[in-house]
Amino acid sequence: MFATVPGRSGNWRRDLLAGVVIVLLGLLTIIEAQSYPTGTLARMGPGYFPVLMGSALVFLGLLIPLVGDPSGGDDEQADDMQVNAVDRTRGFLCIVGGLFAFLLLARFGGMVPAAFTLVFISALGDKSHTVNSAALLALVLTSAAVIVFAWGLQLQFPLFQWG
Amino acid sequence: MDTITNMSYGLSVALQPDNLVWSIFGVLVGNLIGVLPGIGVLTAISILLPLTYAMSPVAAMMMLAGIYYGAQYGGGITSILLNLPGTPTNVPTCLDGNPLARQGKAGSALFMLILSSFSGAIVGITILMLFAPLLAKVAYSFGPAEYFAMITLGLVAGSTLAKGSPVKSLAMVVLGLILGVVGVDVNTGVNRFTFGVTELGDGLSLIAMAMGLFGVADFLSNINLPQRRLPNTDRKGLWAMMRSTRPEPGDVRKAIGPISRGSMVGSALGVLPGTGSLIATFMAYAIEKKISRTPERFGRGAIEGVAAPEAANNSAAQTGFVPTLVLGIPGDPVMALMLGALILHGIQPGPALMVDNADIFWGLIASFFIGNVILVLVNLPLVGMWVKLLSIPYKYLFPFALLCVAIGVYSVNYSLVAVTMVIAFGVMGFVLRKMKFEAAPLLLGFVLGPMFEENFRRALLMSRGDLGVFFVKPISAGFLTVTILLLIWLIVSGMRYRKARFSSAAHRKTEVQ
Amino acid sequence: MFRKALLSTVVGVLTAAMPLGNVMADYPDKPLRFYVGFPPGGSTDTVARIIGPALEKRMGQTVVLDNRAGGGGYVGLEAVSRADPDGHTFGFGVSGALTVAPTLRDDLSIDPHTDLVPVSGAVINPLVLAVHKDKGINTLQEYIDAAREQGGMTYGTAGPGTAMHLAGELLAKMTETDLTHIGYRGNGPAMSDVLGGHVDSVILDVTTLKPHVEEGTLVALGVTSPQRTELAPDYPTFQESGVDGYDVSSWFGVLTTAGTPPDVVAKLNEHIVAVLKDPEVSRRLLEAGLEPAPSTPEEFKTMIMSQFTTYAELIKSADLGGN
Repeated sequence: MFATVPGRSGNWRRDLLAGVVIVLLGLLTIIEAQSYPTGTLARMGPGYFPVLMGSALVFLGLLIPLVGDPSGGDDEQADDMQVNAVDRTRGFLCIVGGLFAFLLLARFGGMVPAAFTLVFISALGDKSHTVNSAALLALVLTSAAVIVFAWGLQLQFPLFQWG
Repeated sequence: MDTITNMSYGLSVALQPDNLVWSIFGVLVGNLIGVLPGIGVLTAISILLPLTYAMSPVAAMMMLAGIYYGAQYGGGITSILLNLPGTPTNVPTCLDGNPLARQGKAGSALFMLILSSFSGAIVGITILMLFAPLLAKVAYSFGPAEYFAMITLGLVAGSTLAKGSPVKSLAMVVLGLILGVVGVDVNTGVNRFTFGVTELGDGLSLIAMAMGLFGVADFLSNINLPQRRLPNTDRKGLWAMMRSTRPEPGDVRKAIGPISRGSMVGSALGVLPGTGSLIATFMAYAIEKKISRTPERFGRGAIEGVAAPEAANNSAAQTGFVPTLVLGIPGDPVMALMLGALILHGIQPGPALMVDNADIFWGLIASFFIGNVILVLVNLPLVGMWVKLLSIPYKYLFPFALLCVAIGVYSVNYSLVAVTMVIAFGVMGFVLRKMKFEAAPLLLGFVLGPMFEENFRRALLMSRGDLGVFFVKPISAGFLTVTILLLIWLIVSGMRYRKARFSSAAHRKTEVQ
Repeated sequence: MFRKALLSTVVGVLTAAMPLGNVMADYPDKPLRFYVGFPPGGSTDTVARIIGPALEKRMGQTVVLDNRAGGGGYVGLEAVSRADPDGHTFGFGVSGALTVAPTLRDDLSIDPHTDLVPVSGAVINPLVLAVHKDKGINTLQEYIDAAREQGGMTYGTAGPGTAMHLAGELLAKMTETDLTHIGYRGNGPAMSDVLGGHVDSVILDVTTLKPHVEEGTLVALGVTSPQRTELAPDYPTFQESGVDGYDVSSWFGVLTTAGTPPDVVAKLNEHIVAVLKDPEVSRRLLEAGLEPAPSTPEEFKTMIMSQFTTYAELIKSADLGGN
């Protein structure tokens, strides 16, 4: 997932995977739609449209590896090669982790701790940041957020709150 | 003649100091809101609504409207700089605007944004001024069958946007349509695909989806990439960027066609409440790509790809006021809020508004003119500053953008479900990118999905299940014919891709050698 | 001097808040929170923005309006149900959410009848059945006849499970005609379709329809409530037009957290009723197309429960909700 082998065989493998994912999503849609009545064409139930769309998705998913996709080996793919998997994973985890921390602290802490933690954790995802530089950045951006969002825009987001 | 008298009356209303000040205030706030990723127009207007109690109704409308169209300008700026669409109608701007910025041409892209936004808005206002009552009739001549047909065309056109395989784009459109199913079914009231979460009853959040698929997915893909440090990080590069603020020679000439086509499409479709402006924007982009002699430049930094959709969305933002002002029927939640402000002042919106409250109608239109001039005056000098923003190293920029996204999305409803969606869509966007799927058609499908399904079902309910209804009505039949032609073209070009697959592989081999 | 005064105020506030047993004495002793379960700009929001400032003046405390849109009003009601039961948090409940949704929906996070306490009715939002003038239909009777001749009529509403939807189903049932419900996402798209002649008729609130009736494009066939409305006194009621016993009304009322002491509820009711009866407030409400309808907590509760029972039967017999 974090590194793709470029080249023609890579493209084909990628498209096969893409097709499989799309077919699966289509099937899931059809399965979930079974819990709603389908109705008739004149009086469609809530399940009609999802079944229709799920089937369309399955069809398109089958078509993807057959038709193929010439794009690839271009800029983004080339980038992938220059970043090692460790840096990729670190960046990924820190951004997602930072957002999750925000999620928790927004409710059980308020804007200031939530903002600080989000910036701090996500900044650490960049390998050139140190703990100190990330903390400093978090401090600066949190202050900016307080000024812009809490005072400027008057958002109803308490700066601190418990529980 | 009549229009001239009305317009000069409108100008006299709009130029009253009180009105002028509020109008400028609204425009500037809108511009700022558009630039801040994640903060939607609706949030901004809700926050400022209490201010309007103390104002005259005319000033209140001017301010709220200013926020609305001001945000269109601002939303394009972050699309170009950060690949973050401020509003859904700025999505096509990302497609070429952001690549331009990455090539160090942010300045000329921003200049084009301002030029095309302004031109589009002026065309839209002029049409609004001259033909408002006529356009209102057009708006309600669109029934379920016509909407369905138009949306179908919009969806298919939208899948030609992408760089790569049209089949993949179509799959994204359909996936978007499915994601649009989440929430209460508007015909039966049944909750679908909500898995017991009350908040999902209103569907997935559009802002969360846009911020996740574009913003967060972008950060996830680009973090720790050495060459994403733009060519401007060193002094010399920065200097070059500053100079590139001026348009590249030939850009303006190249953009005249896209701007005029974009404005026309935008003005025409903008009149249709709810769907018009978004379809117009995607359509404008698709048209340029279709008629271009070098379609392969699109998605890789074609200046026409910025000009056409921005002209379209700004003209649509202006003609979008037709149903609201002429009929009192709000086209979207923002317009509903504006009408709410009128009601709070004891003015009943409806067909009589144009006559009974001529000061509101004509004053507002005049204020659109003034507001757009101000937007240009404010934004042109700022181009240099925006470009400089890009010289901030990525390691400072992305946490800042993440923070704006998180706070903005959270503040829409103070719901953590929305923030969770941002994370989910961010990861999803990242995975989709790895498989070379594009997010723009997905978003298009999502936004239009509910309207697509509703109108399909509504049309068949009314016709008692007769599919012929879509081909009997002339407008609907017209749209569907174009759609079918487009699909045929897609299939043909799909076959071309199949061939290209082999030749391009061979081509790449020679390149390596 | 100033510091001393400040200190004594702080101490005063703290001690006032201390004895929990005697909430009543100083109610309200802190800012009040008024939840609106719909986005700004809608009619619930309009009402809240008219009565909010009046309440603020009367109760001597800030009233913070909080729009928690979503779930057909349930996101806002849920917030009310989770607040401290001290009467400082209250919100709007609309008729659909309180009387129809509990029967129709299985995803409600709270039970509106036990997790909330009714405080007072607020306003009535009369509903009207209207057709395009080109249909050549001028009375409810002609509408029913036409529906029978043509083998049915379509009617649009602002969505399924609303009082408007219910009004249509009840009409179909009582007159034994085939009326097909077409749900829209709010008033706007429904209006657009009736003006364009795409849907045969609509049932919407009087405020939305009246300007188009006055202009002559639409014809109002009748109001669904048993009495004529002050807002449009020339529209006949369904009952007058020969549908005996027909009664559907759409209203909003104020509710607070379950467990709030009855004397606090009574006090809050007193303030709300007084504000609704204020001539300036009621003038502004009428201008916005809403009739003030204050009531006692008991009357309000009885109204909710009796309509809930009636509609539950109707929903079951008409098999609404598509499943």
